[in-house]
Formats: sequence, structure tokens, C-alpha cells
Amino acid sequence: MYICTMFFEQERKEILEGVSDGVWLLNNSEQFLRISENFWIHLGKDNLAEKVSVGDFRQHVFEEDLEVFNSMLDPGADYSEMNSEIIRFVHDSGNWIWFEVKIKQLKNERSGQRAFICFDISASRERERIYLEFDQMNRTGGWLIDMVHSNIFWTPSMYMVHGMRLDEPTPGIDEAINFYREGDSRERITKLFEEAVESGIPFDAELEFVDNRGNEKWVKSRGKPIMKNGICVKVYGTLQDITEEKQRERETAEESKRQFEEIFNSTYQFCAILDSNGVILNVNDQALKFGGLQLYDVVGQNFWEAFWWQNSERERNKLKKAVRTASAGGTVRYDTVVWDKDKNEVSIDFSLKSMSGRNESKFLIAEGRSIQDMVDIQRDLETMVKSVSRHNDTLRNFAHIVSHNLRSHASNISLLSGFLKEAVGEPLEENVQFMLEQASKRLSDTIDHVNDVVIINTDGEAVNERLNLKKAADEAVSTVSAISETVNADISVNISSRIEVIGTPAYLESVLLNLITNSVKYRADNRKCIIHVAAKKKKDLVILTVQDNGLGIDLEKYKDSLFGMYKTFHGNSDARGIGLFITKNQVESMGGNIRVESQVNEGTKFTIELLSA
Amino acid sequence: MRRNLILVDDDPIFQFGVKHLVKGLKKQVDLQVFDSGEQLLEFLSSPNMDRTPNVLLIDLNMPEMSGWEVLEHLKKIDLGKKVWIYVCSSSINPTDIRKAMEIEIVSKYVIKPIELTKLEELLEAAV
Repeated sequence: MYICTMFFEQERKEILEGVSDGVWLLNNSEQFLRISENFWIHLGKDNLAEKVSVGDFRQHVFEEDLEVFNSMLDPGADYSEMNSEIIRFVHDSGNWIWFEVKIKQLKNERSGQRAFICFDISASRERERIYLEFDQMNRTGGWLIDMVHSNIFWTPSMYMVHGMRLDEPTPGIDEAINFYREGDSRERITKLFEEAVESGIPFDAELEFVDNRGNEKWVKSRGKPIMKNGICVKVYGTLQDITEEKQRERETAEESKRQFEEIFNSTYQFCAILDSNGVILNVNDQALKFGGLQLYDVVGQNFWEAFWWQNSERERNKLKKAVRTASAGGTVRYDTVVWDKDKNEVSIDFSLKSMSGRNESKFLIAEGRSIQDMVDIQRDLETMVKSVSRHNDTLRNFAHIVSHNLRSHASNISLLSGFLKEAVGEPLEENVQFMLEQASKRLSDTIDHVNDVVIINTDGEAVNERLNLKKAADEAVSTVSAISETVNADISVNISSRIEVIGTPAYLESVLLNLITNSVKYRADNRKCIIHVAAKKKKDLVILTVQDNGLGIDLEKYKDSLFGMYKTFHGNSDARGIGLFITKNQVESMGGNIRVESQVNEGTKFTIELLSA
Repeated sequence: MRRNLILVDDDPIFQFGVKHLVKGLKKQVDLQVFDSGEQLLEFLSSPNMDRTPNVLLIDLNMPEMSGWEVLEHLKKIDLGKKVWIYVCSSSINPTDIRKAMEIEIVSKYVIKPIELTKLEELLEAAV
């Protein structure tokens, strides 16, 4: 009987070992186990003891599974039916080996005999675990809806994305849809799912979601319908938690926005963003500071109605036109003048161009850069060139004086003194002495004139005062009255007593005297001499005119030399020709300028621009 | 051979000087003096002008019509025989000298003052 049993037992053991990955037999009364050789091989052990105590064997069990192991060995447990448990053993390498262990109470044997047949399920377990890990890593759940049987299957990660426990019941379609955020997201997923089921259209959308614990999330929801004869039988898909990606995206967007604002506000350029109609949407700090403005002062305003452009109607109209051009896709760039906060006119290099916004909308970018420094430099340069060319003119005039005037008197003196030398012993011609005196007097006069001019030209910082122009003109008229009354000249002064100019008193007097005297001197003999002195204000200037009906000057001929030194235009005996040269120098040293209009035998009109006080 | 000399200059001292010098010349010279270019041109164009001059002395710096303008007019006049034209000025400005010498009809630029020997030279050259 025993042998028979032994044989049978041996045979059965071999069969079991052949189909399984290991067999243990428990002798409960003696508390030991008989372990098949192939089990040890599965655990990577070379300890091939066939008979081990329960206590020793327990050491190979993974500690978390000890409870299950103990219950398997519990003599009180009822294993009359074939039961199975999953239990992990520790491989020699330290890894787990997953076993599905089928347990059978051997009823026909001695009481307490229990058989354990082990199947290594590590490979499939590992795969499942990795899949789950992948799902968890991607925070992606999978789902499948059997439309025919109304079955819904969720992978474990679906529960995770929904913030649910694995043992909670799987939500139905309507419930699942309610996890999407009320409003746009929920409406969209509803529509997408309907389209998938009804028309077989797959979907892929990023939507807002609120999980079971109330956490707000972003999910990427994808679905693919399976159609059979035009009817949807299954829909499956994935649900990915993309909250972190969205967060990063938002942070990136916020960072870009922050960087944009940083650049927008720290650039030295003036920048404004307008809508396509030219309404201000945003203005950078530079432009606001420049105009002494706050953002709320200008946002919503038409660009051309904003403070900067209030200096000129013409510039405003130009800007309106530029907005139209830019809105039509063009780029506009020009130099213009705007107001700064103190209403000073500042030159800027201005440009306007359109940019595409979202949803094909358009907005305009206005940029400005102050070029006032450049303009100032250019203006200084022009002033300098003018000043240099004026000095050049003066130098040329001096050269002329030296060559033609000083030298001519000197040569006359030399000529006459030569005659005196020859005439020693002979009777002297009476008028030689007289002529010598005359020549030396003229030489001396010329030197005085040269001196006058030198003083005007070197005394650049002459005292400039507020001078009443009418008073100065009246005084000049009264000074020449002795001559003008003799020739019965009619001199009128038409100047408002309010007009004041900036100038040097002696120069202004000299200019007026010289011009009025000239008009009297070069009167036409055949008509009454009429002289008008008038002035009017024009911006920061005073325009003074002295007009006569005299001989006139042939400007065709004398235009270039008119204000030159020692130029006389009339054979008049006392024309000394220095007057206009000095007048021009005096006017210019007061910051003004002089010009002339004339018609021969009709009259002459001198126009002088002086700085208004 | 008697020579005709014409002086065009507005300066009475220089006019006097030339008159005085002519008196001192060994050879006899007929001198005519004009105060302005206009007077000269009027003389040259008058039908009863008995003799064309041999030598013209023209000042540059004159009111109304300058010496330069007189020369411009003379360029256009056919005087019938060779006339020696001298520009006579106190200017030592090289620009004036160069400008004068560039005018074809000008024989020489004479810098004032003028002495007897110089006047003789000019008249001798004009043969």
C-alpha cells in the first residue's frame, strides 16, 4: 500500500513537474515541504534540497506576499476546490519571480497533505506592470466602449486621470462626459463623441477637465470609432493628462509675454500698438514718459488725436493717411515732428506697419526714434557753414579793400610824392599838395571803415537788448530831417509801438539811418521822394521794410556785389559804397538778415528780419 | 609818329598824375581822359571820332561800369587797327591779375602807381 502510494505519488509528482514550473508538497503535521527541483531552478538557486522546513522556505517569499503565503499553508484553510494565488518569490539575482500557485488539498492521502503547483507568470506580469508604468508615466488612460453591449472598459490609468480609486465603479458615457469642464470643453467633447459615433470621425482635442477630487486639469482626449455597415460598434481611445504640459506652455507664453513687455518698455524707441483703425491699444513707457502721459490717457484714443501729434494739423492728416496705408498692408516711414511733454517740437524718425494677429486680425505697430540730436547737429552745421561763408565773404571784401582802396590811395600818395621830388628847384604845381592831403584823408577814412567792419565782425557777443522799433525808426527819421526837408522828402513810419526787437542800439540806429539816407540820396529827381518805413511781427521775427520810389538798383548786374564793400551803383559824388556792407554786417550780428528788391527807376525795397523780443 | 593815349579812370588824382607824366615824355603823345567806361564807349562809337587810339589805359575799380565791363564791350568793337589795351589798377590781387590776362585783348596788367619810365615802356611797346 505504502509502495503503491509512493509509486503513485512519484509518478504524479513527475507529471506535475513536467507541466508546471515547480511543485511543493506540504506535510502539515511535520511542518516541512518537499520542493521539486525545477522550482529551485526557477528561483536561480543551486540549493536543491528536496525537503525544507516551512520556516526556511518562507525566507524565499517576497515579504509583502508573506501574508498570502501563510494563509496558503494554514491547515484550517479549506482548499477542497482548486484555488490559486499570486505570490512573488525572490530570485537569486534579487528580482521577483511571479508565480501563480494552484493549491489542492489531497483528500485521499494522509491528512494534512496539500499540493502546490506553481506557474511562473513573471513575463506577462512584468509586461503588464511596464504597460501600467508607461500609462502612469504618460498619465494616459485607455478606454473602450462596446456600443452593441453597452460595455465600458477602462485601463487603471483612466481611474488615475479621473482621480478615482480602482475599485470605484466605471462611469457611464454621460457621467464620463461630465468630467469635462462645463461650457466650451463639455460642449466640444459631446459634439466630437456624437460625430464619432454617428459619422465615424475620429477625434483628438485638448480640453479642460475637472477630476473626481475637484482638481482642474487639461486633457488630451482621443477617440476612434469602429464602424460596421455604417454603424458604430465600438469606440476606443485614450485620455491623457496634459496639465503639466499646458502649465509649461502657459509659463512659456507668460515668459514670452513678460520678455515682450520688458523689451517693449525698455527699448529707447517709442512704440505703440494700434488696431487697424488707428485706435491705440498699447504704448510703451518711453513714449508715455516722452509725452508726460499715462497709459489710460491714450488707450482707446485715435492715434492722431493723442497729445504727441497736437503740434500740427498737417502732421495729423499725414498720420491719418499713414494709418490707412499701413492698414492696407503697406509700410510707412518718414521724419516728422512731435510734441514732447513740454510741447517742444522734437524730430523723430517715424514708421508704421501692420502685423497679423490671431484669427487673421491685423494690428499696427508704430515706432519712433528721436533724431533731434541729428537734426540739431545738422542745424548747427548749417549755421556754421553760413557763418563760415559769411566770414569768407568778409575776407573777400577785405581783400578787395586792401587791393583796390587802401592800395589805390597809397599808390596815389606815392605818385604825388614822386612829383614833389622831381620838382625840387622848379615851381611846384599848386594842387599837388592839395591832392596829397586828399589822398591821405581818403586813406585814413578807408582805414576807419575797415576798423568799423572789424569791430562788428569780431564783437560777436555784442550786447543785445530789447529795443522799441518804432522809437528807433522815429529817431532815425528825425536825425535825417535836415537833409530830407531840404529835398522835401516824405518819410512815413508805420510801426506798432508794441513791436520790440532784440538788438544792439547803435547797430539798429546805424542800419535805419543808412537805409533812410540812401533812399534820400538816391532819389529820382523827376518826382517827389517818398519813403515808407514799416514793420510787422511774424512768429519770432520782426520784418522791417524800408521802401522808396528812387533810382532803383539794377539787381541783374549787382545782385552778387550789392552788399560788398566799396560798391557804388550810382555816379553820385558822395557815394562811399561802404554803407550797405556795414548794414549787412550789423544786421547779421544781431541775428537777422537783409535782402533787397528793386526796379531801376521805380524804387528799392530793403527787407530786414530781426529777432522779436 | 604821334601816339594817341586814352585813359579811363574815375580817380582825379590818377588822372592828374598821368597828365603830368605825359608832359614829361620825350616824344609827343596825345592824351584823352575819360571818367567812366560809358564816356569811352560813347567816344569810340561817335561817327566824328577823328583818330583811333594806339593805347588804352583802363582802371578796374569804377562805379557804375567797372573796368571788367568796359573790356567786355571792347571785345565786341572792331577798332579797325591794333590797339594796345593795358589794365591799370592798384590791385595786386593775383585773382584780378590772372583774370585780366585771360582776356585776349588785354596786353598787360599794370600795377599802380605808374612812373615816367614805365609809361614810356608801355608806349614804346605799342608800336
